[in-house]
Amino acid sequence: MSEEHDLVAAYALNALDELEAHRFERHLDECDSCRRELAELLEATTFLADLSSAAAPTDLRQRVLSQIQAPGRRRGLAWIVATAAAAVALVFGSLWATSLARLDHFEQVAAIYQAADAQPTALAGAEGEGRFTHSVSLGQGVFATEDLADAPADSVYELWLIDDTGPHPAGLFEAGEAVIVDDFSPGQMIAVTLEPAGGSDLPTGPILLSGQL
Amino acid sequence: MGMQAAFASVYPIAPPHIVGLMRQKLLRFLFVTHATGLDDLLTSIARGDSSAFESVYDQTASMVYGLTLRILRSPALAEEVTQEVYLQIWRQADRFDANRAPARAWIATLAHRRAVDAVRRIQSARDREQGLIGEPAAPDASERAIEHEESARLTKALGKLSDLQRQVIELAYFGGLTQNQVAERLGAPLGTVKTRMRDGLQRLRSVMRDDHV
Repeated sequence: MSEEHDLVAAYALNALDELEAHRFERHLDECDSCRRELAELLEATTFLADLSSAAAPTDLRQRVLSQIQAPGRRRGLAWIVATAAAAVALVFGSLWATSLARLDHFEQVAAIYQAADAQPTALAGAEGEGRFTHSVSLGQGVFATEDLADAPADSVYELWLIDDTGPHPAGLFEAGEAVIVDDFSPGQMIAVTLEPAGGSDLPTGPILLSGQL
Repeated sequence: MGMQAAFASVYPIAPPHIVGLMRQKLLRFLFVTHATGLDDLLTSIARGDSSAFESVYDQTASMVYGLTLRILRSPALAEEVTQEVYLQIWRQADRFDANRAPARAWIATLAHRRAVDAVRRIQSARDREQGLIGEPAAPDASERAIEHEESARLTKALGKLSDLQRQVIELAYFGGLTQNQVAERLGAPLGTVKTRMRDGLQRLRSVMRDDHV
């Protein structure tokens, strides 16, 4: 019992590994004094959280509110974290080639998101939402969608970068997949269309999502 | 106009530290007044009340965003995690139990877990790729604290701790390290780390009480 009791501060700080946290939570259900102490220690961690406050970007409010109005398939960090988890899990398995390929991809995505100059561009449309997060210093961006329905059979989503020289293909993807883009420039328009399987050199379908870099 | 002139003649030079103090007191008053409503708002969210959700967002977004930003050090990732946190609040408000901890503590804990989870997954994918085991590169929170504008109070509060208390709390809470990793990092026995986490948090709690009263 006393051994478990020792974990209360680390639990309040979220500094236990999964197994230890699980063990402590079971103990918590039975131990009044640990529950009392945890409530006290959480006052301290909440104090730390409050003292870390920073103004949230103003457009974040609308994005947060719209995700509860249209709940469903939200991708973004969840996708990144899932990919990371899959990559790590695969390393422990025997699928070395696959895992390393995936890991490279994940590394790229994480690096773009974490770049100091990472800048998100929102793509809006009737069919869903998209986000292109790019870093000029890395010369790379990652495009991901939210709430986009699966493409019909024999067709595929295609990403385009459009400037005054016309539309340029930037990658094919299935609903929920991310696309890494390494050839873009400021001022370009970024758009998504539905194209026949295999993709097109020039867009043939209507623009489903679009935004401005 | 006349009032202002009269005020100015009584206080020809407005003492900035007094103005600052008054502003702090006012902010704290507003904070406490608001905070009392959060528990009820979460109960309303559990019934699907989206206007209650908006109020909760407005009262907690700077804490959630600021905390995740401090842990993840990437505005793009912090925005993603903040979105995830609010989606979780919307979906799991019925799990909130006011008898265990107040709403603000519950939300701070959710945000902290999400951010640390993301840090650990990204770190572990990186370690596997580089063939490294353990030893995650935790950011030095005391250095980063200086970067933040509103961190004067945080620095001051942490300054009331002993060096070891401050280090274990910073590495765990802002660095996302587990208690074992903290012990390894500092070359300190695990038992000592546990004790310092616990008495450090208790000390912070009393600092907080002095600070807020």
